[in-house]
Amino acid sequence: MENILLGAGDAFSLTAIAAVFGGILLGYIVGVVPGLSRPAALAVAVPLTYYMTPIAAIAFLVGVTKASAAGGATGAIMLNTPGEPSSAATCYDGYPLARAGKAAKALKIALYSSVFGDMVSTLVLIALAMPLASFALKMGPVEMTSVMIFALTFIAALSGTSLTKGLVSGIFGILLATVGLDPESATPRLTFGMIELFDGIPLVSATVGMLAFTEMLVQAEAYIRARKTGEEIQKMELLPDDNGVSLEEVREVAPTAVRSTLVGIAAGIIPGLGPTIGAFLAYVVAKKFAKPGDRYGEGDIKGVAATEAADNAVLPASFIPLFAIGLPGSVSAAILVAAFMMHGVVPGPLVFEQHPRLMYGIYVSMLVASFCMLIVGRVGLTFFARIGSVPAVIIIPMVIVFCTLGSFLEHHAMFSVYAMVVLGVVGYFMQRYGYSVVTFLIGFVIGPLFELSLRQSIIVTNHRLEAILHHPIAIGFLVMSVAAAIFFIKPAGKLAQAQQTGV
Amino acid sequence: MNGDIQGRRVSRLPQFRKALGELIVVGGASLAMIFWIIPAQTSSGGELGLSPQLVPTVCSAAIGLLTLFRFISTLISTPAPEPGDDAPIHYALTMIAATAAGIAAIAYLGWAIGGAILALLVLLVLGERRLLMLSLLPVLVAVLLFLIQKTGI
Repeated sequence: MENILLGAGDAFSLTAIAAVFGGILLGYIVGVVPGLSRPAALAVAVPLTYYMTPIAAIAFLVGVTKASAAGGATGAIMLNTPGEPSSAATCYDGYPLARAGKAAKALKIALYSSVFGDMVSTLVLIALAMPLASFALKMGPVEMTSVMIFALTFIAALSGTSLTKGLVSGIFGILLATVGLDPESATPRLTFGMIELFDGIPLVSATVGMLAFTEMLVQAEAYIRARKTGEEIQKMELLPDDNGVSLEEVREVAPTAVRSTLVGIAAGIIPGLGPTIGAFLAYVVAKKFAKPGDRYGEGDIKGVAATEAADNAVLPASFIPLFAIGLPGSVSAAILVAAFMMHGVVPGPLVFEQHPRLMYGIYVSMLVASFCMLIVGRVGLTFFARIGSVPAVIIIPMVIVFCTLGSFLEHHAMFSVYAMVVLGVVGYFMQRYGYSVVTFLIGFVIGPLFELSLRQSIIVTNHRLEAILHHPIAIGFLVMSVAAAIFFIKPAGKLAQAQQTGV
Repeated sequence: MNGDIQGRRVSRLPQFRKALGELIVVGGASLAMIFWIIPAQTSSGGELGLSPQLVPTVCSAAIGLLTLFRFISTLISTPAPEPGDDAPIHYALTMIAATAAGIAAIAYLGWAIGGAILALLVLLVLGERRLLMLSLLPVLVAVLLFLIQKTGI
């Protein structure tokens, strides 16, 4: 108890609160700007904490990480260009809401859901870190392969009107993710002799190119056409009477937010899944729970709540295996390990015995960060909601410049910028011919994890398929995959049929 | 070759052409991947578990088969009306060219000057001709990128 109070005292010190606040501000900026990714921001922020006290340093980094997740929704809602890959799913309903003049409502729902998901996940971390971490330890290669197969079924759910085109896009994503060194033999694969491709196609370049740059091309096209034909250029007007969030809407959204938070927590605990997969999975689950009258994909606040609650729930949950067994569940968590070690703390089972005061301080700081996120987000919201009224002639060049800069910052190499442009062009043509860039990204994100775990499984089981019978978790996920595939393919097929008959 | 949807006669030909085009481009690319690019660009490896060629080959084959399936289903299904309101392709191509030129400027002249050129080219493609705008935004971008560079990010 003494340690809890001492830790709380440290977390409420002026330096720690100032550090959290600074981190939240930096994280929000990183989240809003397309291409500036969370891991890149953390990598830049870690050296800044060198002269801070351990609690202030960790609090600062936690602030950066949490706020970048929340800030990513702003670009997704206002410009259809997600600031973070994990906010891509927010575009589905956030952007249509903004176009309907309900940008402020969408931003508020995104913010409140983010804070809710984050806070619940933090409380789960505090209460259940040790027992849940043992579950993460049971996830071997065989289990991970089945989890990835389960995750790949989302492609069917998010294929939209054409299941075959959605599948082609998803498989194309997996195919492009195989570029680079082979995970087993480390021999170059589809690199065309380019050393820059040995690490594979950069994820930020792929996300920024496929989502942000492609969207700017589409918007530029619409702008030029409107200008040439003399059409009125559409602006996002804010509807003053429909931009608040009523109690009824909160009640309506609450079950979705709770479900999505649980999905996000699960995605955080399982190492490797991460926030992007968590957010898409939450969206798919929310769609499956849709009631008559729900308008997912056309501007439903529940769609925004689902993706944002899950996205923000992933990070605190990914600390569960990190704090309890020293296993980082995401790239951000891995960078945080470096920061912990820089301040003399080695995450793992002994961390609570060796640094109890610091650990409780970190827990309290994480809750403080959630409150700060709410304040910064709520104040900034008034400003962010006006982005839609900024003329396209300013938005398009600025976003293209930031796409270029953001891609460059991932590896500090121009090659990433070239990759972004090439993938942006590919994404533009895919969109033009009805191929989903979102299912492409799901394949691209899951592909390397799937291949690695599949190949490890084959070695571990010595090529014996029946060895799976000794892995009950894997069997469970495979059964779920089959059920999910049937569940997802049926409505997608119906939708395509309805589209074809023009009903 | 025609279908009838809710009283409207819809020609099957444009849909057939589009599907055939997709089959040629996507299916052709899959065949090129399987028989030429993957064997040339991937070594056989140690093969303790799977061959490095397996996943790319399976993906390419699946893409090819799905495209073929799509083509066949287009042949036998009722034609749907085409949206037909796509903007002319050269708008996007000009924007892509402007971005490529701007990025080349960044590569050769650095972030501040190159970024300003990129912003200027994009503005010009968008049809912006106001002198104030054409000078103000690139300068703002240059200053911003210069400051970002100075901070060492």
